[in-house]
Amino acid sequence: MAVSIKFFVKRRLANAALLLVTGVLCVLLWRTLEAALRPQALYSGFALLLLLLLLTAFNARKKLPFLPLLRASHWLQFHVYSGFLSVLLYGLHTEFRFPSGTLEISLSLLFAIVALSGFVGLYLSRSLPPLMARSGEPLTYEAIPKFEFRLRREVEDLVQTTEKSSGTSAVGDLYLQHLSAHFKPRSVWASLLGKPKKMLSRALENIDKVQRYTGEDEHEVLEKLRACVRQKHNLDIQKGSQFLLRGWLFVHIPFTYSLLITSFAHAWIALVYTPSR
Amino acid sequence: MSTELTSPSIPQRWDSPFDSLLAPEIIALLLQDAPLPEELPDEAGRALQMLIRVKSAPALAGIDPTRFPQHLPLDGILLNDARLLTKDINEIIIREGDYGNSAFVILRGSVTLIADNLPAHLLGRGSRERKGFMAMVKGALRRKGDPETRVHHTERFEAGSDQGDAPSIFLQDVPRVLDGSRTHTIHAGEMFGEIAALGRCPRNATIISAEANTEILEIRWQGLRDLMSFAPEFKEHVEDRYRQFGLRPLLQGLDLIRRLDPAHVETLVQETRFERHGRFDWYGTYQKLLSASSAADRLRNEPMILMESDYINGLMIVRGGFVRVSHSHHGGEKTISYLGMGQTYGLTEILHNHAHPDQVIPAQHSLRAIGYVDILVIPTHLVEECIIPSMTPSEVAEHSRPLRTQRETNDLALTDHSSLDARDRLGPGMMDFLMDKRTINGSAAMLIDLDRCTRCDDCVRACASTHDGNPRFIRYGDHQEGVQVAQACLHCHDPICMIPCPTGAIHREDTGEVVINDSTCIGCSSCASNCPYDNIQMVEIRDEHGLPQFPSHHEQDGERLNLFSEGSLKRATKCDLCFDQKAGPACVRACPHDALQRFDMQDIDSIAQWLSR
Repeated sequence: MAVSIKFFVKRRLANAALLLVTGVLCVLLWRTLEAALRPQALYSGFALLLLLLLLTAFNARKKLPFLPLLRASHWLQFHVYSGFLSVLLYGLHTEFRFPSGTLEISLSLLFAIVALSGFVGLYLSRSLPPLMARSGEPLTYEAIPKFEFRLRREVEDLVQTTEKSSGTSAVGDLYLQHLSAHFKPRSVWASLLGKPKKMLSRALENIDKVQRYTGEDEHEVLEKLRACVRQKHNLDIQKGSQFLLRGWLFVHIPFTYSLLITSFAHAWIALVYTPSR
Repeated sequence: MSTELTSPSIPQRWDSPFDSLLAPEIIALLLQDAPLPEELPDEAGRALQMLIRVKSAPALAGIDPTRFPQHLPLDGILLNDARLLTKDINEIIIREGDYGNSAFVILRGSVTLIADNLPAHLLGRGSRERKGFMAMVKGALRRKGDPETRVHHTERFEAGSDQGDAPSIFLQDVPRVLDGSRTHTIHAGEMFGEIAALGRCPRNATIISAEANTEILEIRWQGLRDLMSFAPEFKEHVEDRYRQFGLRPLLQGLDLIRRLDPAHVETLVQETRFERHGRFDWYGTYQKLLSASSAADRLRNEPMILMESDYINGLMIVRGGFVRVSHSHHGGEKTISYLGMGQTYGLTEILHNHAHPDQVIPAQHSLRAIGYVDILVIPTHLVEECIIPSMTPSEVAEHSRPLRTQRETNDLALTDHSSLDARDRLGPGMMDFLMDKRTINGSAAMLIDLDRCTRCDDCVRACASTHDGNPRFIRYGDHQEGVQVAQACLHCHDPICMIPCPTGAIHREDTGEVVINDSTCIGCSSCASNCPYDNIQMVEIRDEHGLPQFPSHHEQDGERLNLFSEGSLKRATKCDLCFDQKAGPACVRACPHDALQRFDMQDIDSIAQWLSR
């Protein structure tokens, strides 16, 4: 039976192949220039600068959505694979040696931060959306605090009403001792580092423990509490994931511009101080 | 102490007669059982005369008033759901491409039907050109001011939310326009416009008044529906006219019928049956039903068109609306497909029964009306006599696959065989979701793949950039199995929003997009109220200083009259699919992760392919 290759797999394979061929060509060209005693560092430097400009142009494309400049997804593909290529070019340009001198160290550091943040961003963009999609209701980031507040109020109302109607404190105690921390609005860092999955299972376990001591009416309330615990888990996942998906750009973009400026300075210095042949 | 109880009044259907000049008290006076007083008010006298003339028009003459129920008397329908229009020579009555919910009966004079397409400017339509490169750059460089700023706003229409107040449009340079055009004169007593009104499809011709003071009775669809229900002679008249003018082109548009000789086509035209199922105004109640009932209840509430295991009486062709195709599954019903306009059902069973008369099989699926459905049925014996003999062996083989396989892969639509696997791949959960939410009505529904969407909002920003800083959709909406249907105009196949627009501001472009002409929108919010998906927003418009705009004041009898007592000016806004942009919808182009796409929901193949990328 013929196996049909999915579009994204096909695209990834094609782009990876193209990247490999381009990378090999770059290395061969480098070797040829080296053998021909040509200033390969100068050529590779300009190629790298041009590539950096093209990579930055992706951000400009986003600002000009009305212009018929190909789809942003095409630009992203180019951005990602050219990003990989730029790492190779950077290695060739620096001849894979450790940087020395203030400008070189700054440039290398900036390049490393931009490249690394790019890889991290790529990983996050591919891994977090499916996680969010499966955790529950898709939410707008800005609306999450409102939902957190509303959910907490709903839960507290439910607990108070149950306490009054049942005359026992089982559900109230459960909330105060084990669940109140779960429903407390958390900072994004706490959402990220607080192991939301573990918190979810712990909260559900605590509800299960109380169930054996409660009556039929309270079972219904506990079921509602379980649903609310899951909703809060979703809120934590959405908040943490969306923060990361936005946050990495706050590293990647400013450092890209810093890198670009420093690169221009480096290019200017290189041109001024390169001995003419 | 008075014991009389007072209760809040519940709005009644005839609280607002179609003719805004006819007071409800006058109508009540004319409809009372008691004899009319000798001295009638002028208005009532005029209405009475109108009634007499209307009922003598050939289209309505034979109607037996005793067939109508007491709460829906014929006179009541004519007084409340109809109105008298007087048109001047060359005045446009209906325009090709417009959606309308009325039919017209000529009482005096005549009208000219122009079958050829006329340029938009002749029909009083403002045509928007696609923005040039410089215009796009300029728009982006312009300082983003307050939301919904209309700098060059001109009030073309200042009052009225009723169709009667819509401005008159005259066809200019008539002799030249009509020279060489295909025209047809419709005389007094005849009816026109009912095909579009009942089928909820665009008008297929432009009609202008051929004489001065042509008197026309306009009947809104509610009245038409009741006349069709209680007056079989009227129904027959409408169906005869449809058979004469609408059915032939529709049948000839189908692959299997196009090739038939004229005699066979004529037989099919004469013998085809019409069926209507469901509620014409489904959009008013479906959201309530959706929230208040279970999936099984909703299914039970959908009118049954054909029950699984019933004998198939004919080839069914969907003329309008959508049909749910399901089959019994573990005591319940599993939705496997839906059929839209032009799609057919039943050919496989008919072919099988034709080939194996000793092993007759019934319908393999149940068909239900989703909302409102118009169906044409070509009787089985005619399919066998006219259509099957003209089918090629490969076509017969294609439609005669083993029935069990079809049951699994589930589709019998002869126009849509490529979708068999696609429908399977979508699965019953997604099918139910799309049908329950009526997303299937969309010709450009915005679907977001939540597995790829990083919530970066580049789509929203791109939309705002191309619409002077005002996004025209919300990245939020119902979702199922990782797919979200965003709150963006679906550009419906059956655009209900267009029906009540008094000025035709909301219209469909030649390229299919449903757009609002900002300069002719009077802000009555009829479209927004009618949109069942809440995808049209009313916005307060502002001037260049960011201040709300108010209507101009007019002098009337020495007093200043504010025609918009409700407040500042509003406009209806919605996604226009970037129809004036050269590169197409900005939202789709802006998504870096291939997560957002616009789909014609009839094209299930593409949706399935997109989902299984």
